Amino acid sequence: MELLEVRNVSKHYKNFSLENIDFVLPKGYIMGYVGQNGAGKSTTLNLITNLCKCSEGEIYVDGITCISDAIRYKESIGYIGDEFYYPPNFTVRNIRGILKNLYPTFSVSKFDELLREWKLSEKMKVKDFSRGMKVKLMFASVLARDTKLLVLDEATNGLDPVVRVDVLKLLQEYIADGERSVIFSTHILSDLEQIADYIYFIHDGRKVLHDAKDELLENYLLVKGERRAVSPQLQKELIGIIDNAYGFEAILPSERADLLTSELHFEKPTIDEIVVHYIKNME
Amino acid sequence: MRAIQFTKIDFIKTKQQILWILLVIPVVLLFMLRQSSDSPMALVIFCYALFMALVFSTTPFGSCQWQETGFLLLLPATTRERISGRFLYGLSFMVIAALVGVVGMYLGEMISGTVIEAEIIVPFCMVAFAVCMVLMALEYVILYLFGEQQSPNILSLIRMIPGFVFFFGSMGLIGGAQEDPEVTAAFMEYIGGHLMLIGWCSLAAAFVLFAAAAMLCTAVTKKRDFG
Repeated sequence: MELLEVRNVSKHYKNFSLENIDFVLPKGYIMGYVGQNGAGKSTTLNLITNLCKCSEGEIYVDGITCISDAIRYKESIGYIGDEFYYPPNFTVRNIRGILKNLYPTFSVSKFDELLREWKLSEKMKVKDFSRGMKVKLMFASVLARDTKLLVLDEATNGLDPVVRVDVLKLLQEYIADGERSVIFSTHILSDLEQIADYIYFIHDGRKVLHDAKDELLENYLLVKGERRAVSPQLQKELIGIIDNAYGFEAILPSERADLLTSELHFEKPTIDEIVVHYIKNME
Repeated sequence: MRAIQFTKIDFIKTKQQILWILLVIPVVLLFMLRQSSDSPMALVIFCYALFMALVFSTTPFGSCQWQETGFLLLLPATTRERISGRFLYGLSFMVIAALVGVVGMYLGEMISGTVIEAEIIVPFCMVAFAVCMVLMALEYVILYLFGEQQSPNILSLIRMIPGFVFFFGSMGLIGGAQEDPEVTAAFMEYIGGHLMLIGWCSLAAAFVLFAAAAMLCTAVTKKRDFG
């Protein structure tokens, strides 16, 4: 059962176009949305949260579009961004009051419990919070209500490793009941390695790769060795050759492993390596 | 009812500015009262309070940083509710200022010892309030047309010009009426005993224009993207 359906979505700006993005995210899974700065990650997430309108295509969250039922659509999404979005002179108390009045499913007791657990002061103005505290507050405000989809736009940027681990744990707990999903854009691809079930990789507004993470890791090999050991046929198949002091490094579709010779080393790549070599290939 | 939540958000966001205004207005009013005991001073006080409301009712636009606008757009409400909330904020701000102005007028009359007839002062206040509502609606339309995140310079221009037009316009009228009592008397004779009717009609017209402006802003903003 799909929770998020992004159907042939395009968005055109003067200097940038997001072209024909199409994917589904089933319930109970986490999707990592990756790409370089300016690739279109935030644009896609802004389209999902309806902060921007699609030029073409449609987006469904739990079967509804923002046009068919804007209130339910927005209620079912929890958004946590790179930048803190609550007005700086708000206190936690102000935020609780607003969320309680606007979201029917907002649980004050759950919110307070999270505040206590994370030691967030109610009286302090949020502008005085540290980056970690701000992220936790955004999480508390989202987790205290009944959302279906969590949209994270570089939410783990600038967090210390301890808080980042906490956040990743939270995401896994969030989807544990199999009814909710997370779409997660980040530059820290090791985070995705740990928690993502699907990877969607875009470059310059277009899809490059989209697959289940495990499939993706199975489908590619990281090849290393000296250039002279590369046959012309293998050269054609290698993706994103990067020369270094020891020879070269590139990725290769696993199905073409028959082209490898004993002089070349190969191993399972990380998501990071796949992305880096694909970007290199497109330069 | 969601619109009222957006009004509340705007009030929380501008709490500090409001407190500042509440402190400054009485000081300015007292200063005015000490300067002159002319009878129209009560009207000047009322106009000054509305002028302050006109200038400061646009504060939520100024505090709309990029991310904060995103926060408002993420809340479960329609564009119409969000914009109605902002217009309600402006209207409530003006009502509060008018009440402060009325208190100031009363104090002014007490101190100066000159009482303006209610038949004149009430319609005057109603018309002044109506003019301010229209000017505020105009400010909001311009601000929504330009987008909610303004550069401070543009915002200052938009917020100051209508306020000054109103304040100096009304001062000009009051001064003119004082300097040329014959024209004033002729005008009063011309409108007969319909001063209250004029007051009510201008308020009604202002409310209609205010609502129309809110609808126009909704239509403009609905199509706009964030950022």
